[in-house]
Amino acid sequence: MSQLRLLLKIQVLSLFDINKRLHSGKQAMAGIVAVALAALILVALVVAYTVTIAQSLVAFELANYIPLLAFALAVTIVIFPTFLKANGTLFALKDFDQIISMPIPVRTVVLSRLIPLFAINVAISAVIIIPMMAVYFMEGFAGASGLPFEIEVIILAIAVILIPMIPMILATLFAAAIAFVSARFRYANLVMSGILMLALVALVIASFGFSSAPDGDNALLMVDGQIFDALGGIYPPAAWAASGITAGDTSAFFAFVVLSVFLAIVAIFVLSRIFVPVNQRLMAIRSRPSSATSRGGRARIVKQRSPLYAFMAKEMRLLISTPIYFLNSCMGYALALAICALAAIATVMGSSPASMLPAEFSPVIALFIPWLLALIVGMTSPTSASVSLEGKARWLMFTAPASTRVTLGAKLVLTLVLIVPTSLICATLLAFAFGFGIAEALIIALCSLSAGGLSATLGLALDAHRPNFSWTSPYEPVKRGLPVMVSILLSMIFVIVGMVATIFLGQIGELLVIAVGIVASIMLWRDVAAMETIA
Amino acid sequence: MGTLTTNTILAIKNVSKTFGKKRALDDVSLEVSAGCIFGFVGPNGAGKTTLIRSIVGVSRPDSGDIRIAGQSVITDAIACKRVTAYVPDNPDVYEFLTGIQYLNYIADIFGVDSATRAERIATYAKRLGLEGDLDELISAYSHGMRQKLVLIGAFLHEPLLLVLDEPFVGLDPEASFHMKEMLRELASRGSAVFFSSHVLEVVEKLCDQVAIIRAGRIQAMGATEQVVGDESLEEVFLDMVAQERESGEQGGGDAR
Repeated sequence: MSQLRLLLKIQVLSLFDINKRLHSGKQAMAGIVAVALAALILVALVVAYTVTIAQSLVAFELANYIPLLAFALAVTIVIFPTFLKANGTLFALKDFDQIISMPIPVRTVVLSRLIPLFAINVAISAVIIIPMMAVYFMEGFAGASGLPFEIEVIILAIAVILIPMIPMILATLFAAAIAFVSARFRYANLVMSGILMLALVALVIASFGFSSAPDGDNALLMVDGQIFDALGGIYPPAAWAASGITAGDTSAFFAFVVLSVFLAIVAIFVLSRIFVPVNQRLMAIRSRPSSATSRGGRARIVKQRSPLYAFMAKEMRLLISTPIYFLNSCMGYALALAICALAAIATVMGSSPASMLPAEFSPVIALFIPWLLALIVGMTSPTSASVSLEGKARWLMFTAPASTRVTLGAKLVLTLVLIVPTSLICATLLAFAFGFGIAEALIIALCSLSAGGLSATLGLALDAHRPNFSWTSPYEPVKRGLPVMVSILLSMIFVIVGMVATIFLGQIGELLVIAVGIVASIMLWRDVAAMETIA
Repeated sequence: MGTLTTNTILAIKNVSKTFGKKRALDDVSLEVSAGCIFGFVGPNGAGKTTLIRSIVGVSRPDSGDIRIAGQSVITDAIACKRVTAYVPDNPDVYEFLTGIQYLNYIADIFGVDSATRAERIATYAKRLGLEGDLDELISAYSHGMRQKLVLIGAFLHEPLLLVLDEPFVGLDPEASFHMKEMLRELASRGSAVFFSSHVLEVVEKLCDQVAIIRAGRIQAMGATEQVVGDESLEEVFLDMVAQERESGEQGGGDAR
């Protein structure tokens, strides 16, 4: 037990660079406060979003489905961080040799890795479920199951803790399988990135198909809750847990608890058995001799290229070979392209997205579509973690005979190479899907470029001024980095401001905010380019 | 220190650097001429890496100046970096690149044309026994292989100044032998080599000049045979450390 406590302590101290910041004076403490503040704002936004969903269900007289939807949402969302974090935490971990050479049982090591992951997932589960359930109880459903309210609250508390268990186990095992299979390929990380992005796009397409049911006419109301029954059918444990609260079905809830706990015990047993062989195999594949992986030992000398091009090529290779970075940074672009392509396909198939919306929305669609695209495109940017990701190899950047304008410019140019075509393609597809003219299409593209450019330059400026080079897993700067969180947050605020300006000032307001975004991007870049040294 | 001679490649003048209350470098001055291999030794935490990081432009000194081929690292860092190569103590390079991708990357940044890079990569890779591994991802390289790769990268643009921090760590005896040869050859072509090492025997045999640093201050410096005298460099080094410790204890503890 004391060994587990010690291992857990190390895990906790490494979270958010807590220990480093605690030992680095006042400025670092300010960093902790800033991270906490950014996290609080993000939580507030998630809470606002989930409360809105719950209130919508109340408005549609479908409040009885709030618990099921809350649990299903938590299950879906928990899968992604687990899947991404399992690599580097449980598998392909950098400190495998050190950990495994210690006189500690493998089960203790596995538990020490699973517990923080589980704690993060419970926190995510709580942030999603509790606000929605608060709406449910406040709308007069407290005690509606026939059970005393206190019992309902206890059931809810157990559900919040256990809901992430099964998806976490499945995602962990799936991540192990993918890591095992992809490691057999020469460019394992590229394969992993591709699989993850495909899975994400498939999820979007599936959810799109799910919500735009046959006749298009507001599927949610049309099916009168059948859609949620179907949801329960896809993942019965969520339905069992929900029926404990909505129908007082304690035996169904008990089945959910037993299944969750049983699978957790089985998973700990299985993971303890496969932890060493899988990691050893991964390491063996990583370091196998050249004859197994090389193309006959041919080393290709390339034509001389400019330093900017060389930096950009390196940035591109970093992006595509780091799955967590690729997914987190390019998710917005992939989502935007997938959604816009689906909208265009739907139009070709005679089911225009515009016709699915209520008639009263028609005059304002052209005003708000640009901001919806801007929200998705501005949500992610490779630049926000690009400086931190130089990590231990940063000496190469620092000793290169190139100005920060070139080294950091390459990071920005790569992002623009992603944003510009994405914006232009999406604008074209949306114009086609909604029947817009050239002027509207141009505004959509400009809006997307403005939000994307702002997010990219802001992320770059923040990361260049406050890089975190001391990470042990790329997950840290990519998922928990302050520049990433702040640029996402400010990008969302920019879109909200744009929407408000559009509501009050119409197209003039829209163009004004677009111009502000572009000017701010240019100013931020000038600030970055003027830096003599990084950080 | 004498005045800056025309063939001085590296000139460090009155450089100081402080980290919090710790004075890592205290008024350090030295010169390295063209054709010279300069060894820099000192106990752990003496300031070797801090000085090396300042020379290659990774860290900026609080005061003083560092000039490479007459240009100041402080005011014209890029010009200095263009003629310098650096081999750090830990060969941490981009693991997502293959060996050859890394070398092409370095060659592009230092503006080495295709024909020259092809010839140099082939020559140095063969010499260090890495020619069959260049198409591998660096993540599959051992520490020694990475060290060799960084070395090849450092020689690609034929630097005027080669700065190495503990270059012999992790190298096999054959690679170590070839590296010493490569350093001598580079120096014979008119470049300067500045390296730190704890392997005092190598420093003694390889270096034309040597400096011993302790607590951020240069304790001894000059031609290797002058510094060593009738003793070995190891004996000189240990005597110096012992004397410093004694004087520090008599003077109230802190030798700094």
